[in-house]
Amino acid sequence: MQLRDTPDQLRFREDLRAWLRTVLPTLDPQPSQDDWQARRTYDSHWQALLHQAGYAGLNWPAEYGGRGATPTEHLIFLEESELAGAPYVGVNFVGLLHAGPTLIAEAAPEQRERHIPAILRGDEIWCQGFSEPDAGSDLAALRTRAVRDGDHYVVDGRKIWTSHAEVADFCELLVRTGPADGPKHQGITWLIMPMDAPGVTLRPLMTAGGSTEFSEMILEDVRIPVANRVGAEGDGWRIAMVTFAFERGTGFVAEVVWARRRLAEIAALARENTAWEDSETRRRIARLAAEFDALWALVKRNVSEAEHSAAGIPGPGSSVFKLRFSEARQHLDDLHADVRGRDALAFDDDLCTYDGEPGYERLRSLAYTIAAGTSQVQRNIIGERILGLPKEPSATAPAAGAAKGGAR
Amino acid sequence: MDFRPTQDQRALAGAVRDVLAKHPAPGTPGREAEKGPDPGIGGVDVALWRDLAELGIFGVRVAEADGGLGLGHPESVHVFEELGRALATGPFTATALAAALLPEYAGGRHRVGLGDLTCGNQQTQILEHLDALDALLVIEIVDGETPGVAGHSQVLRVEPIELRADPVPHPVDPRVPLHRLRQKPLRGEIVGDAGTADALLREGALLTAAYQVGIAAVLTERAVAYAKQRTQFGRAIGSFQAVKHLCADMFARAELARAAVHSAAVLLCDEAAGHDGADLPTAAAAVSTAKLLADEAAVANARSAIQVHGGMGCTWEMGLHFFLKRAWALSLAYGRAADHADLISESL
Ligand SMILES: Cc1cc2nc3c(=O)[nH]c(=O)nc-3n(C[C@H](O)[C@H](O)[C@H](O)COP(=O)(O)OP(=O)(O)OC[C@H]3O[C@@H](n4cnc5c(N)ncnc54)[C@H](O)[C@@H]3O)c2cc1C
Repeated sequence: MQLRDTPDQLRFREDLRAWLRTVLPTLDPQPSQDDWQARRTYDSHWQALLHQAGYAGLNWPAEYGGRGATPTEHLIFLEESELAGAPYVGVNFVGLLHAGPTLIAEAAPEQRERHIPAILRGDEIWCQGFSEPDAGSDLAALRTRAVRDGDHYVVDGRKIWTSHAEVADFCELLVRTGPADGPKHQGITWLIMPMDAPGVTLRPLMTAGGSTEFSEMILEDVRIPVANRVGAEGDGWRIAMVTFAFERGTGFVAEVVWARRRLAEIAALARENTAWEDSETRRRIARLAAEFDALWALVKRNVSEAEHSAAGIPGPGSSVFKLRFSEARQHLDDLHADVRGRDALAFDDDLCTYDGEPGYERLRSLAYTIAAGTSQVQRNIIGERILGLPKEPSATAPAAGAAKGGAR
Repeated sequence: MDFRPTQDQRALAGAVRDVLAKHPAPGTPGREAEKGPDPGIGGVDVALWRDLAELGIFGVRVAEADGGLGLGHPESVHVFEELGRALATGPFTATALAAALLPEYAGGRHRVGLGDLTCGNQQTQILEHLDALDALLVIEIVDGETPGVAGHSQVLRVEPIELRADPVPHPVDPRVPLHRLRQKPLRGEIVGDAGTADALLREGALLTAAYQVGIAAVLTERAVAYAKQRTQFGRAIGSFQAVKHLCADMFARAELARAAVHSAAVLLCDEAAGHDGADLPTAAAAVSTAKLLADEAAVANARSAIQVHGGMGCTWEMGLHFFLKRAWALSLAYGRAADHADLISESL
């Protein structure tokens, strides 16, 4: 049981630090939060730089253009990038953190060749079309239909909360290919949808923070080649579970490092503006530091286990992390607001919404306990999949044994 | 980095668990029906103490040449998590601390207690297991002007029979006999300076945190087992979300606290080795983090375990109250939440 770098890990860390030191000063200033084309350009440029330096798809197998790095090296990458203030994955989130890994695990060779290198270079942006107006936590209730017509599927339905849809080239799309009244977990299929296909209409939605980061996606007679199907028809639920494992496994890890740094800034501000003299405030700050340090230790435990497990797919332990991190993250932003006092009533005048602006972060963090599986759903997952507690009877439960898996 | 427990660490924990299983404490499976307290002299189960001493648990960190196991903090916390799971009762922490300081205690032939007079109200100083002790270490302020400031405390070794102390007639935890000290100043041999005192308190906080993780983890298992087996409304109560979510939160608390304890154990070992690579918290802050989270986890999980067991949970026979009482007491030992929060805030 130890936490120090091996000589190889230390070398990897030092090389990365040196590279970050030379490349970060060459970047343009971050574009404004709502200029999506500019953000796509900025995030793609960063991804291209990572690719040239051999840091793209770090933990992906070398045969798919990755570096075949160990989970620990990947963690070092996330830690050092965040410490150096490097750009976050941004609009590449879906492609790099869950669509890409899902393709590697489940897709046909032609599909991998077509998409994996492009995702790695930053040439291809993906979005996730899973949620629907009537299928959120109960994702398997999804109704978007795909009907076979020769060598195409014809898709009709509505998706919602599709992040970064406006700038995406492809969408990981879950559709119903089985009968509408059949067992809901069967009859779901995972498709690759080109976002420029005729019949795809986007209606932007706005978050509480005023950001237009997600959309409603209306699909009318969209023709998707059967060749774009990943896995077998009707096997989409199982594949979606693989996608979720990746989404929860690595999606938020780097943010612990961010949160810990933010906490040091809050402590500094509190010392400046006398909030520090209130022992309750001071102890709240300390209690959160303890929480983030413990979460970081938990991440290391999970990563060490992943490094030595055969599966390579993150385990359900990531639900513990997601649950506690998302709640701690909201406490962090509330604490920041308390320390700022009435200053917290105004956004930063010029920039209004940008990464790091405390008022904006506070509103953005509302989504942390909702997106990628709500806190209630994470507790169900811990209770049922880790602790083995019995499932709740569901209103539509078919005869015993037919339903498998649960909420997202 | 490889943060998984090693095979040897798991084997040591397994050996301790096997010994503890032979001497079940009241309130733990095997002794549920126990009506009243049945402590040995000074509340110590002497047979259990002897078997654990034979395994070497008091000298885990003592060099092999001095009769110890020559291991480190990561091994110690594995041992203490097992003690907590079994709710083993006795001056385990203090004796292990004393052994790290004075190797003559490594074999566990003597029972050593610890009194920390640097915190709290010295008039109401309370000592545990006094009648079972062969020696008492006391941490006190030398010149008494600024409590807690390094350079002002020292460690004394005191003969327990020379102490004037009154037994507390009704301790809340019936298995831990208490005495109230009514003597000042104490006479004894100086065995350590302020640095030693700090190190003792820090390691004591770590071992106590590990014990609390044991409580938090074993109670999660008991609540989950009960939630699977108990039915109401024709269903196992664990299928109700209100109960399931209590269990999920218990699990999350125990896991997070264990990660914090293991991290603190590793960092405390590495402290001398200096910085290399990863951006890690200081050992002092890591120990405080571990103690804060482990105290919270033990107390909250004891309450939740009682809640999941319903009326049964409130009974003496079910024994869950023993865990809650111990968790409360340990939350006040080796620094309370506020002390550790203050310590962490100094590092921010
Ligand atoms: C910022 C943001 C970005 C997102 N991006 C995407 C994206 O790119 N692609 C995509 O497909 N989706 C995306 N989502 C959707 C997200 O996954 C869903 O919002 C989430 O799964 C919850 O579904 P819902 O909104 O329909 O809420 P509901 O499922 O209707 O939940 C409402 C409330 O009921 C509770 N609840 C529901 N079921 C249960 C249950 N079984 N037990 C206990 N409580 C329950 C929930 O916890 C919640 O409190 C995004 C969401 C947000 C906020």
